[in-house]
Amino acid sequence: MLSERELKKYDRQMMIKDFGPEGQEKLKQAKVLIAGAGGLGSPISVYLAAAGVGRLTIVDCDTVSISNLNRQIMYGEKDVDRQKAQSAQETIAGLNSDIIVRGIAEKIAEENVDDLVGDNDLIVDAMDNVPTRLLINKVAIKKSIPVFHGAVYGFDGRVTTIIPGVTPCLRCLYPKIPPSSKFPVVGVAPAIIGCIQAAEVIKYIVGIGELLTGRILIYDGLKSRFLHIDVKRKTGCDACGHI
Amino acid sequence: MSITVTLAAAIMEEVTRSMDKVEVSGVSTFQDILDKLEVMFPGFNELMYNDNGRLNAILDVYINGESVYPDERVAKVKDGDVVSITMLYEGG
Ligand SMILES: [Zn+2]
Repeated sequence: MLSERELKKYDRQMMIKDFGPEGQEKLKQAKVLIAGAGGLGSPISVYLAAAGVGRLTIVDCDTVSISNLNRQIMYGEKDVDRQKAQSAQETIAGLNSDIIVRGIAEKIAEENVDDLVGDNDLIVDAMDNVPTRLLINKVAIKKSIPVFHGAVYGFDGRVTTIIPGVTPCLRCLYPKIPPSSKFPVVGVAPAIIGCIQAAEVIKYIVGIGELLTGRILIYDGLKSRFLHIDVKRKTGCDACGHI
Repeated sequence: MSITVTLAAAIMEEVTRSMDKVEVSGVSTFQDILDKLEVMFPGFNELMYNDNGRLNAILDVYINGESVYPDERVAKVKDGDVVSITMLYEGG
């Protein structure tokens, strides 16, 4: 049940057509795993917390470095050298005391990914590398839960929503692993992409609107343009081909 | 009829003069499309391939929405198809 305070706090979003207290209650009951507390994870965590998603688990094994601060807005100068998971938990808890937030300072790996995903209803993919994204994809397929994917480069980014067995999985869209390198990025790119991921999560939980399923939204920040590509499952995909 | 090619990769913008969609016709494989694009945008193929002649590892090609990795070059195309060249971003 929503408290008197929650009803006041979320008043403006409950005014949205087909949202209402019912939608807000769904958000309150939702359990969301945010994989990565960096450029994407920051706006995702902030906006899902502000919207009243009841349980947020934020996983990141890194510590805050000074070069993160151009985009990772959950942290400030005082947080440099601190664990991101700890710092993120404090920031988010300070934004909304009506939700439960937990930061986990662990590296997502084959051995722990199953436990980390646990009984979460969905995963937000805010990772900074493709191999870990694909690990998350694998567990999401196994547990049949959606993945909200976003990735950025420079002023640009791409975002899509994955429903295992229905849409292409992440492996269908990353059939090869691009070489890992230090990539250019300005904070507004993950801010825009992360907010779209958060919007997708909110719509999915509340059950309204259309999702970015079966299509990739590509943001070209320098040209201020959005582009859509309709995508299909890859024949013989080694991750989702069996379902 | 022709084939619509979406160019959605930041690394190409300089040679493609920021065009994000082009139409090509009279082609039957993805390699034929690349040959046409090289004529339209000199320097295009240099971006598409690495030194071993394989497709640049940060690019992926979709034909009618399905990734055609790893057989991009020989992938068949026909009039009405939609081909997209995108960049595989890793960053977050
Ligand atoms: Zn797949």
